[in-house]
Amino acid sequence: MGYPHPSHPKETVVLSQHFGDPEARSYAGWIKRGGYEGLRKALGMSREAIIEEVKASGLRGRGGAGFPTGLKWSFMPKEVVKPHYLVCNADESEPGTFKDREIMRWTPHALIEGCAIAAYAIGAERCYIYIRGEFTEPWKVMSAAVEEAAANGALGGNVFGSGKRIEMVLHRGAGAYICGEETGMMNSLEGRRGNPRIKPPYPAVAGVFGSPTTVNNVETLAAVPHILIRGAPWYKALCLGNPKSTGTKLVSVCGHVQRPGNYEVTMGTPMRDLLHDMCGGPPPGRTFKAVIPGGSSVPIMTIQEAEAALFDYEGIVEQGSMLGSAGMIVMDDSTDMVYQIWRLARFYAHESCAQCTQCREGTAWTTRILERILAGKGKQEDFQVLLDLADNMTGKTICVLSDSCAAPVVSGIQKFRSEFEAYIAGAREPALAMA
Amino acid sequence: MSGGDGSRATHGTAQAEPYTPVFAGPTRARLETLFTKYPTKQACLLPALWMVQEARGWISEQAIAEVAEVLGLTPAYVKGVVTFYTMYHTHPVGRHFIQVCTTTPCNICGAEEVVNALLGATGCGELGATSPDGRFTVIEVECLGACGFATPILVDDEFIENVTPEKVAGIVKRYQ
Repeated sequence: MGYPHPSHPKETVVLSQHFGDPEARSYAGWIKRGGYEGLRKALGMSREAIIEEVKASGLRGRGGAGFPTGLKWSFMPKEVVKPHYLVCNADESEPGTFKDREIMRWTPHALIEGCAIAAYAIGAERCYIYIRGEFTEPWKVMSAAVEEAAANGALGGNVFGSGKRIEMVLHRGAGAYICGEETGMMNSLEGRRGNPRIKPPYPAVAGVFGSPTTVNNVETLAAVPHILIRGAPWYKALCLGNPKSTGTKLVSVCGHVQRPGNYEVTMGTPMRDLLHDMCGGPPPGRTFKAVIPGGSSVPIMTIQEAEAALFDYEGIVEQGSMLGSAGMIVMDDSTDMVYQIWRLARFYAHESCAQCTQCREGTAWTTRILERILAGKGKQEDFQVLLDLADNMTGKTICVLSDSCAAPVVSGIQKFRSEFEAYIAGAREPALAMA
Repeated sequence: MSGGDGSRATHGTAQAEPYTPVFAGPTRARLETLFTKYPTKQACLLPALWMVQEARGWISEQAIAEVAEVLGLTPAYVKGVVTFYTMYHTHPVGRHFIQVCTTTPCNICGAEEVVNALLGATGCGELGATSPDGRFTVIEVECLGACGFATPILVDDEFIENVTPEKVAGIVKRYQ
């Protein structure tokens, strides 16, 4: 449901059914709502059977990359030689995205149950849930829920009498966007700076503490109990035409819409429905101008592109962007695109871990050049310098942070060039004073 | 983003006092329990630093040395980790630490006006500085992950959504 708003008829409410209902937070309340049935069922299945079920459902990673979840699980060694680990990525820090926060705040046991099933499926006895440091309320809710789950036998040395051990440890981040990148997260979990690691080795071979590791996003894991209970065919059928994108997706919508919030839609829902029906359109007297559909790291879409797109992994690519984490940042005609692209570049410059030169220097120079343009001191050559920088920042680094900085800059120049030109020509009042 | 020497003056005497270890009594016991949840002691570094900050409000050089000792690491290594993460304070801050999100989604919804209102109402004047009464420090932070509830702020551990310049005075009053 479009929490904090009531459910919209065009939504398909699965994960968000109990958002806003404080009773669903307790173990007893969760059991009353059918909770932990998925885990009980899983414990009676073989590891392989669970992985096959998740593969058949078509579930893909909801953190941003969209990698098939069952396939990822199948990469874990069959034999457990070294301890296996499940790491749940609850470091949600992608600007525009605030869905995992609501899952943890309202339905903590849905996540715990999903983690427990995944841990069992990959042969892990321990799951670390890495929660970003700023999420103080989700942390409290999750801590209480993990304790309650353990007290009721849903976690611990003998889960629901099955003889299986599944332990859950919450780990608090301390303010670093890059720790949402899975290898940065593993370093952080080991007590290191959160610098991403070069792959290979991939986490399933040598992940956290040198052991086979699977890293999954909160929303991905929360969907797993539903798949086990209702079956892969049911999940796979939640799809409006494109069989590569199945299930429901929580879409965080923010910015210039009448009703910002989290909307849960079937994959393939027209983005126009999201923008105009569910979110109620632009503020009074305004018109939409641009949408960043997948968190700030994806190319900016013009409103025409956005309104033509179907909301799923392939549908958004067709219109020149990516689904990413499905954090939609909506901008109306009052938005200064140059200023906001500068603000994004500043974000990436601040969050760069600085181990790769292209990223450390590229994000900083991009920010400075945009600052110069905003101060009314831009030059025509700046376009080419920015594009050259972006080229050097794309596909050349250990992780994709610098690519993410380049995406809004390149798409911004392509689609909103006249706004840059206005600053350079002095036709627009400088928005910044240069230091 | 943070910084500002103004904050040091307020708490300048704290460093002259003899250092009392953080990891004694119940805090030590809490850490020992944590050791059982990770295969290495080093993995307890972030949690241990949180425990220091909880107890002392910031992480001093002496505290870094203590953490290093307790976890079998070097102080230089621990400092390297402390300075990587923005939420650890390496100098004293006001009694109430206010973080305001100003990243794009909040920015387009007026976050910069919220910052200005907070700087005025708290008496901090500028970002990263502590108010003359030692009560407040205000900083801008990158995305707090509550973009649909612009503008969110974090006052110590309390997360407040939908803050507007008009609401700022009332919020600040609650902490005075």
